[in-house]
Amino acid sequence: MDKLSGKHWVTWADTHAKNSKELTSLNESFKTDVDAFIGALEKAGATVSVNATKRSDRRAYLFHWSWKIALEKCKPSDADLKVGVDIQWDHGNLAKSLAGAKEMVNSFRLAVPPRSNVAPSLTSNHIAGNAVDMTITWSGIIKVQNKRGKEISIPFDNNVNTNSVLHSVGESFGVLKHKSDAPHWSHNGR
Amino acid sequence: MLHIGLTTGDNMKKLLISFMFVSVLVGCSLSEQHASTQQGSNSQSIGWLDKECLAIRNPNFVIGDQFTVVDFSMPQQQFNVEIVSESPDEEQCAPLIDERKVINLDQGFTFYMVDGLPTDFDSGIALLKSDYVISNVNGYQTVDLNGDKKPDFLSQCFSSEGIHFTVNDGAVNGPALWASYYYLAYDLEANCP
Repeated sequence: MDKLSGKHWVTWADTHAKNSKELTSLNESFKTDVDAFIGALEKAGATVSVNATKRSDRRAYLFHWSWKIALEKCKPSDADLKVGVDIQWDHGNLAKSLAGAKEMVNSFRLAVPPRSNVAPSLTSNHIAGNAVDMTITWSGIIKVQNKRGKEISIPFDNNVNTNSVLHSVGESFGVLKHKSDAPHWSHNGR
Repeated sequence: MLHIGLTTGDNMKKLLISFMFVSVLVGCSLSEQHASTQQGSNSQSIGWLDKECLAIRNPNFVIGDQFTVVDFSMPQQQFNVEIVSESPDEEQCAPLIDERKVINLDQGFTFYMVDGLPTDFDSGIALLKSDYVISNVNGYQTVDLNGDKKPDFLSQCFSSEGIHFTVNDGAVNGPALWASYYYLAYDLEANCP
């Protein structure tokens, strides 16, 4: 395979650096907590749909450096090496290096707003296996047993970020809500 | 409803009662509108874009409907666009790629493709042209969303996995009058306050 950066690395990532939607890919202790929380919600009548669990650090590496190089936030030669990802960011020609990185940014469908300094992150709770993205829905009010066995009534709220009662039940299981990203729960709320 | 032109005492009482009834109705309507706006749910004529893909909580737009799009360059620019197709697929519309689709659809958005944006456009807020007048204030494209005759500012920021689009009351960092979230499904170096 061609080591030089370019669109073919997106195809490579879709095979060798895939993200997971499986709870089994989470860290064991967090998985146990999430299993218990989801079990309690489903027992009470909620529907839980898991969208993302552990994300690939290799994929995050490709996102991060393709974005930084394509937007000229760094030189192609500045990119770190990554074990298991034998990519060559520096084509020996700046225009070709930028073109290769831009192909990847476009094919990964990364956001590139004007004036942005917000690169895809190299580290996160998802990458560490300590976060889950999920939607939780029900009608009306459900009665959920928290980890201590206490029954808690939770009204449905279209905005999950403001449903503090649901957050408190999750917290009892060690699954903490991130307050601004709707589907995101983790071991520490970040 | 107001019975204009009635002059007898009884009719004056009816007029007063009718006026009070209308006042209460208007008051309730405004407070409900304000409340729903604060929650970001009163957004049927405001949406956001990723490239030429418009996400908006309104399934009733048709081809030819026109919007003004504001971007986040500085100075901010506005573009006139119109809907050119409905029900785009994930090739056309990045919010609908596999890992983003479920969460973005779950928020109740309908997706449309628009025409009229420059090729380097990345993201922005779209306002239905017939509903909103856009004014330039010191390089910012503003709209009077809450009818208080003061400019409200359009902005975006990044949280850990997505973009928050907001219309802010009276200042760039004012309280959000309208807010919407685009789930990107990858981790970001967040910059939201």
